[in-house]
Amino acid sequence: MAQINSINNATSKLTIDPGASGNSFVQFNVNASSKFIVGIDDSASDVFKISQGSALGTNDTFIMNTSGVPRMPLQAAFLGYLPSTDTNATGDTTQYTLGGTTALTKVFDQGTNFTTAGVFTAPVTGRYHLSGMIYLGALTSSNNLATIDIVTTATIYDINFNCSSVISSGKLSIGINTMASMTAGDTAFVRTRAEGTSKVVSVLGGANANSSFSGYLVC
Amino acid sequence: MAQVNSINNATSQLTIDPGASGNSFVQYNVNASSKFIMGIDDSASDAFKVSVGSALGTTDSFIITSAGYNTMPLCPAFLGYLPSTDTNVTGDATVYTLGGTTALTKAFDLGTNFTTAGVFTAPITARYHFTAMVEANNMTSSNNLYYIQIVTTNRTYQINIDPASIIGSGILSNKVATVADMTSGDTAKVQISVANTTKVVGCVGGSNGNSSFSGFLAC
Repeated sequence: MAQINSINNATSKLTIDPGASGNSFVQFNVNASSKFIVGIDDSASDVFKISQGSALGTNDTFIMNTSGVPRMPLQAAFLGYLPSTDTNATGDTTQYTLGGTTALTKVFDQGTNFTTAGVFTAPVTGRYHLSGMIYLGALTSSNNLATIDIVTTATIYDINFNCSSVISSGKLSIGINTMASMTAGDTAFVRTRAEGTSKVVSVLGGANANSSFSGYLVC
Repeated sequence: MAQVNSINNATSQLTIDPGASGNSFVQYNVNASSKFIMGIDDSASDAFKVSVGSALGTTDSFIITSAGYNTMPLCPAFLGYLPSTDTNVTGDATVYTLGGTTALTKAFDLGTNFTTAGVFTAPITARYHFTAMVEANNMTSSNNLYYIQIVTTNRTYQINIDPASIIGSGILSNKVATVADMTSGDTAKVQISVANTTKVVGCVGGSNGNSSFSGFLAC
């Protein structure tokens, strides 16, 4: 027989059981306003959830399936890539911002914190993992420096590459990854520049995400 | 004095306390079947846990230690590396798959979603962080393109470099990292290709993880 909302003092066990069907949950309220709800969502294969508000299945923040695999559907996370090539973007030390010319294609943007202009805004203070990739084209042996930066409000993370002798094809990818400490409202974007020629160097785009920016809130 | 399974309406406080020893927990059931259990595991230094089933300490899915560190032991995560060198795998633009010739050594594979052939299969729809590194050898100044790519079902993430003048030793590492959108059942693997010579370029293996693929479910 199902044990419904029982307290067992002997085993220090609070059991919540709706019987044959229904959710099994604890509701956390403040002044009759439903804030969070924790329990099993019967309509979603009995997964465990922490949801905002008064209903499991709405604004699910933490989900653990019956295999124990967790996910956080509202955790800030994004990926955007340059869908087509921006020609004559740099080469003369011009700083080119990914998304600043051609709008990025967003693959996903959990929390809607990322713009097609390539700017991520931290929704909460935390530590974020950020990755940038830039694929340069039309380089020549005169281009003695290429850089890729992840520019956050607090810090610039920078990779420098002397590309003068490594561009027989005229093309070069540069990647950068970091953990960044960001305060709520801080921004991050990716930029690149090449030096040594006139403004003839391209930033190559395409669906393979050769030039892209991604990240997520770690902790 | 220990408060055992009390409800205080004045402070809106539900307290579960076994006294001097024992677990303190809430059991979420459906029709008398134990689905999830959440609480403090007295036998694990009073860590807070969310576990699948009816027992803290068995199938622990989410753990917060008393110092506040949190781990998710069932979160999909993997690392595999090439244990020995594969010779003559590319150089003539042949696409080489990490794990496709010599089986990878798995350092860890939480959830068993990764094969020694180098293929990760997403157990659920989510955002996954991937990192790949490959060290190639026996390159010459004729090799003008060396790319590494993470190939997922949805798209390819690629870094291209021109190794012609930076391979004095004939050895060069390339790496790529990204956050990828994966639907349940989607796959990911690592490939490289080196062009413009004969098929004499190898992929360097060893326990240092020179050539490796790793990833985890981010959110």
